[in-house]
Amino acid sequence: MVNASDLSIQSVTKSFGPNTVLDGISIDVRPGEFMTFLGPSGCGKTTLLRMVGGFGEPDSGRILLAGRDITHLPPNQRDCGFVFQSYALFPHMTVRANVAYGLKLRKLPAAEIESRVATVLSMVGLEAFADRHPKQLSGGQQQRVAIARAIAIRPSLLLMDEPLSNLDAKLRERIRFELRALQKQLGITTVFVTHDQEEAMAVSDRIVVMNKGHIEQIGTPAEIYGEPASLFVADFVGVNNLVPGKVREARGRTVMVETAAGLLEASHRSSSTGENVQLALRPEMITLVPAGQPASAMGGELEGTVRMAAFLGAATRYEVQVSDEVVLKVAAPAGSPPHALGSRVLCRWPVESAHALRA
Amino acid sequence: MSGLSGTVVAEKLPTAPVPAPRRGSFLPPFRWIFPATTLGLILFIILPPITLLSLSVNDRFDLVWGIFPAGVSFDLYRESGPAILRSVAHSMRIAVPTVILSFLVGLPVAYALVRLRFPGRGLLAELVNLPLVFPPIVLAFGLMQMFKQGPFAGVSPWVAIVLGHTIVSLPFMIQPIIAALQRVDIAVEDAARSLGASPLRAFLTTVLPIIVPSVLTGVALVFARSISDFEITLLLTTPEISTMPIAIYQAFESGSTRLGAAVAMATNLFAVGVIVILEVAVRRVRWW
Repeated sequence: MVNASDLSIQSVTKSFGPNTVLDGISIDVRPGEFMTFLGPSGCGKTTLLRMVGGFGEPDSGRILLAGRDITHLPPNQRDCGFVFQSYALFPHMTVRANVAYGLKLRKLPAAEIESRVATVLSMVGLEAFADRHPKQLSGGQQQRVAIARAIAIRPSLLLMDEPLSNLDAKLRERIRFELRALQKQLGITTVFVTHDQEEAMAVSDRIVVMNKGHIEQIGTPAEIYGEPASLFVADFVGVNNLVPGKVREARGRTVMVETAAGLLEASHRSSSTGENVQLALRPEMITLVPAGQPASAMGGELEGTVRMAAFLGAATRYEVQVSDEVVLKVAAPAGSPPHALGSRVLCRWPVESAHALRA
Repeated sequence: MSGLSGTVVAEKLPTAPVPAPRRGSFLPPFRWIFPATTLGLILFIILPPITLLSLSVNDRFDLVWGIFPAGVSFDLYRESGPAILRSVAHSMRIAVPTVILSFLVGLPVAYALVRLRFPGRGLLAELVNLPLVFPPIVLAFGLMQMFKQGPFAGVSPWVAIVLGHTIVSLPFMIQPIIAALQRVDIAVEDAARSLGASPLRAFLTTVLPIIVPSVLTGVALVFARSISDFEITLLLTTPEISTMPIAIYQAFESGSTRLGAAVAMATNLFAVGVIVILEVAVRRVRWW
């Protein structure tokens, strides 16, 4: 329906006074891709998104949309649909008039406007609400109007600034999937900003993890999840086992790390011998078996004592003391045999799920 | 079940005398004083015009008995009719341009104070409120000298009066607009921009309609301020300009208290009428 365009952000820098908000950011978004800027508040993700939309100019660098330099174009000449965190609906207009606003500015014939408004409203399931005012709609419905209004102009690029953060958790999860499906149906290049890593994983083709104005990692949700490139990414996307250590020797794709719990093997990107690292390991990648079983060849293994066990429904959380200083958090899926407090267990994990990250 | 066991526990407790809690009031403050103050307020708002009304239609001046008409006659109204109509027309010729000018000056200033950050912003915010606390007579005196002998000498007294009224009226236009703009989501303008509107168009089609009720409140306040102004008009006027307050003053000055009362009543009726219409409009115009 929409001809997909590529977006290229090239070495963009921005400072507000002494604060560098964006420090030489370069990102290429492919045509039709759903790209998410993920990071904590203050990481520069919203500033960057607003800059792509025309609300703010970089100090240096360029922004290209479908090969055209839009760095210094005002927002009304950019052809970007923008969905705001607050929705920013026009309160004095009906849903229909809100959606038609951008089409009227384009001076389209009335019949065409009417049919386009009807089409996008049916896409978001709001045909029956066309004559209501925004105040008469629920938060989720208002959110859909904001999306409908942004896609009605058939923009080359759809920008969304934390569009789900004002919704309650249940609705947020549902709209995630609707949003993803709508984006694929339209094939529209989309940039989405969020601080919620789960949301980013659920909707994105690729994720840019940002921190303090620079990029920590760009990758698919699986890459960000499975192979965090830095300590920051690992921490931000919910790896909560971090064991400090020192690289003993590098063996090609893996390294041996000396930790308080012993010598452990881990995958790595660019660690060298003698370097201080943190060994990052996801709780759900660890399997617990009763102690005394024969050693497995599959990878890492540590014996310890169950110190804490909490049943959470979908998973059971354990804390296993594997040495005086090291406690591993383990998430065992529902249905796995339970382990009693104080029992001796073996923690096992595949080598490629343990990452040596520069400390 | 649980209630029963609760009773058992209570019986086992030692029955030491518990001091009765001091009785407090659940009623909000001012519960008893406000009817009295309200009655006083109403009396003192209503009594002066009633006095004037009775003065203007009776042939004796007696606050108590004057309320009950003896020999009612509207001769004074008939007699001063042309002067009353003239003063109403003059007041309108000044109030309407004052309202328009206050809006044209006040809207950009209010917008800038709310949405823009610039050096001297705090100073400007204080400055626009200055006419509220500044004695109008001082301002009028200064304006009079400016227009009599300063760089603006020779300016039409109509223009001078409109400028004077605009200066003292501006806070009444700016304050409601500022309050309204502070409630409008900044992103609304951004949304209009991203949909293809120029900055001015985005403002005119999204923000302005949202703040219309507050603009009308400003219009009503500025209008009321302008038609009730006395000092500034008096010092800037020439004999051929006679606004409503000036006409009332002239009628009193002519030696007839009753004539003054008649002019005052007639002009005030008109003023109150306009304000009421504006107030109703403010309430009706909220169309969403």
